[in-house]
Amino acid sequence: MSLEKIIYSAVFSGILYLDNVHVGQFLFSRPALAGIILGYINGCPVEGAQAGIITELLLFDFVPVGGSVPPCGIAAVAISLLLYAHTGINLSLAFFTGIFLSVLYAKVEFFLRAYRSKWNAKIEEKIIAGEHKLYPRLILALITESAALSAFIATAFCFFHILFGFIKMSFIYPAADLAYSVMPWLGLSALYFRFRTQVRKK
Amino acid sequence: MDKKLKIRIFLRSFLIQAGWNYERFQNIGFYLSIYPALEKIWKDKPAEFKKSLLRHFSTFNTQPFFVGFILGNAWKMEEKLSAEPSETLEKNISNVKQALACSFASIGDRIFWGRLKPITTQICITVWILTGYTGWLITSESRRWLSDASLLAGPLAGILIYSVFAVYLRWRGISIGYDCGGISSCGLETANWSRIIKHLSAAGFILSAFLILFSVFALVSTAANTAGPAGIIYNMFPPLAVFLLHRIVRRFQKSIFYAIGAILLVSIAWSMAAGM
Repeated sequence: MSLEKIIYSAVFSGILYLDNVHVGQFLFSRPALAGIILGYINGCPVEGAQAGIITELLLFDFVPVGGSVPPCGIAAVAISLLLYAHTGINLSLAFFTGIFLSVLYAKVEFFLRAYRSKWNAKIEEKIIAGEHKLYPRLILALITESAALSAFIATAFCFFHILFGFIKMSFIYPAADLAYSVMPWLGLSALYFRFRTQVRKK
Repeated sequence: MDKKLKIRIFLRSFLIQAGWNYERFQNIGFYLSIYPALEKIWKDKPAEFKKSLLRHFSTFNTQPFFVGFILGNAWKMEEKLSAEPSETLEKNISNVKQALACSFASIGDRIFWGRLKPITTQICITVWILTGYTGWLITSESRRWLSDASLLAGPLAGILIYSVFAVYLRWRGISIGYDCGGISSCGLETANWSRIIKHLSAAGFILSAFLILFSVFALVSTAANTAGPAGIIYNMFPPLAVFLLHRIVRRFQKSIFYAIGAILLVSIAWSMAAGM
């Protein structure tokens, strides 16, 4: 286990996550690309690509409209790869751990968005008082978002690293491998039904 | 139109979703983006400047790539208000802004989130198929050699197409919005959006069908080579079961995580039965 790589991966994921909502939305944060880059950092780019694209396919079931918070793709792929590369568990088990934790991170994101609502009244007061610049607040928001995801990834990794150290999970590998082998089909199904519904709409 | 100001607004518009909150959505990002225009328009009238800042700090939510249309429009309306102050025009700024935000949110969500984003994933997989990488489908092939360039080419190809369109729309939107500023349908007639949406849906559906056909072909050929005709039926069963399961989950309007959970449970039961 390389502590440096884990820290780099967590910090990099946090920075990349800003592209998802807060800055640009160029899709640099898409799990397929994030998976490859995190894979390079941790010595498993092909596995990163695989886990990334499957995560991306599955998460197309969620559309981020109207303020809904979909599961976090980067959290899923980062946790999967860190567990796979540094805990020594199968990619399949690491993948399922990551994908379920991505739902948990959506709750954290929801909390952060809700918390920022309190800012409005304070900012309005400042505007009235003649303080117009919002950059300090925005930088704080960006740092918080980035740091929250990095901390989440690092904490989740540490927790499962210790847990999988105590409980030998090899008994579940055949089941996890079997379930993982059909995940691309589930993703393709999600993609197919999404477009089929759209094409049928008049 | 002041080109330098347009560039400043354009660059700031990339932060439209920064500070997103549940009370007023993208208000912080919109305030930040329109700020240089307001600063210039109201530079000699501090009280009016403050009023305009508060006006643009109100609730705002749209699709981020279409925000240029609304920023250009608001910029022009503020200029008009500065030249001929009137209460009606002042109220109109907020009304037009809200009307456009809703319309562009509906169009933009359907184009970008609903269609273009999934299409970029389809492009990524298609590029990988062309470079001979099938590890995205046959998970046991994950350790197969693949050059760095081919690996990165998949996601980057989709990102390039998506981002070029998104950035162009942000940039052009400011000019279009500015040119017809004050009209509540400003920018909506720029393109035949419903036709674009229809074409994107068709393209996405064709690509989905292609990917499924390719996947079935890849699975059948792998099974035929290793286990013969009986192996084909055996290997085709899990994908068909997954499609059926996903269909059922969708019918009950449940999230895909229900399907993942069910697959995991069945896999555990299957493995336990096989191990006995």
